Amino acid sequence: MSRKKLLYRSIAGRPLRSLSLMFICIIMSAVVFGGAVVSASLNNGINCLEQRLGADIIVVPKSASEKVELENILLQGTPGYFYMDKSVEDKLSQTEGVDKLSAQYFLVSANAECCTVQVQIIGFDDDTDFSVKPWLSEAYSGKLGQNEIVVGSGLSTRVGHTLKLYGVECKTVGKLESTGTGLDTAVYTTSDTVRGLIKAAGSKGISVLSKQSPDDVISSVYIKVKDGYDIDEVAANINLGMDGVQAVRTKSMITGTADKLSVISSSVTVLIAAVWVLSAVIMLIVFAALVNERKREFAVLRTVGFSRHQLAGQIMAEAVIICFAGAITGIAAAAAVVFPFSRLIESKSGLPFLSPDILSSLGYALIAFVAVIVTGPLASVYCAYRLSRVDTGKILREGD
Amino acid sequence: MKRLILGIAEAIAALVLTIGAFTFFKACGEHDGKFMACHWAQNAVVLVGIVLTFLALVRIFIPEEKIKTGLAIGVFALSVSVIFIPGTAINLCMMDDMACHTTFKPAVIVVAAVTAVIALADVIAGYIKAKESK
Repeated sequence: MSRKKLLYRSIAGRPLRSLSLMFICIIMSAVVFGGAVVSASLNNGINCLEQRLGADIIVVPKSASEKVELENILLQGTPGYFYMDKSVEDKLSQTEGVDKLSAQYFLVSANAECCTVQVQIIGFDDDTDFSVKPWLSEAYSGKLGQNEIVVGSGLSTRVGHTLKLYGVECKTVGKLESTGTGLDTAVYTTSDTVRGLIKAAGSKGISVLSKQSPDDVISSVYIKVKDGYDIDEVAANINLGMDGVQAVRTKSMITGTADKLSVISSSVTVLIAAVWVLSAVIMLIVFAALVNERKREFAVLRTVGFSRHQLAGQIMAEAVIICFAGAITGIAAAAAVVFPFSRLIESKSGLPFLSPDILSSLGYALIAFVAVIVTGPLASVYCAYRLSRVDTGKILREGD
Repeated sequence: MKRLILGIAEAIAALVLTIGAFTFFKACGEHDGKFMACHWAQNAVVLVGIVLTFLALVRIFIPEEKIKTGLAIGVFALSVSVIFIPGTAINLCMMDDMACHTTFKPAVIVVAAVTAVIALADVIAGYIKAKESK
């Protein structure tokens, strides 16, 4: 019998033992890979959100419940709206330290044509905008025309297709990059189109919005602070000098989310370490238990001409094969959960969740694979050493 | 024995796909008496799931190895085709935070892929067995 066949028989001949060891490897690799990807996705999400907002300060009406409503719109994608007087924009432009500012207008659609759900519509100023257009993944040239929209990556509408909002056919001319947040399911358009939509809503009997025209009100103002100015100071000046509005530093708005995320990331790291150590200990115990169980088998192999070195190699090879199969299965199982269900994780956790790119994911898979493939054979070293040094004569005599 | 285990696993996976598609990972429900696009994708998955379950059950009970392998090829091809039903062959809802995108589509893809992998293993096992018996 060749060594290859002996190896196969040794693994397949004891399915329970092999499957138990493989199961430990599956758990280990799934936790290491899945945990690393989840942790990286949460970090990607928060970093992308910070960059995507693009502004140093966001000014919203005080009635927007101390940031909560804005956070709901941005993070959870819960459609919502709140308004403040348009004169706020002019006052803000005169505030010291303000470099660029751009107002946005929030509107919630009635149920869109294909789905019985509401869509967040964000009206932005095409001339002053600096937070929406830099994130266009599918470029469009020029300015947005009447009834032209840009959609978040979470909407399946394709560029060139139309979307019916309040009965108005709006042409999709651009699509934004994914952020893993509520911004992905929003529709972006100009104030002129928003006016048209409000008019259409009025003609459909939804008149509640007609009093809140973008001619009179805005929902938020995104502010970029001039270099050399302290962002906190500028925000404080706005809060002190203007009534009814709240200037929120973008960073502080996502601090709560970042804190939650940091707790989750730490828990994931602890879990990975705990599973790794536990798996290594279990493997060590299992392999140590094998020493007694397989003494006779190895004594027989010695009598048929196997060297000590070959016997040790046999044990190591078994461990490598089992760990290889377990690592591949574990990584595949974790990938089958983490990647396809990323939107579900995002909506259930309420945290920005942006899966890492293919290259990074392959890197995490490699780390998990190496972690398992090294741990298994290392745990079997003691077993290999003991079994390769069995006293053949004594063992065989004991068995008589 | 090995092939029997694979056959049972195929049948279980096909059953999970069929029952799951209209229960625990179903698409978006009915709203105001109106069905959304994903409802038809769900119906298609359930229909193909029933055919898959039938083929997998027949494959368990038929004794001839070659027919078993042929049926496993059918299960494999059908499972792969199911992967492309939600979102590719039949449109889902517009927003990707809806149940059809967050639960239905990924679950169908994962369960169908698992069924396909088991069926492929069954085909390979059948081929090896046929080669050995020659």
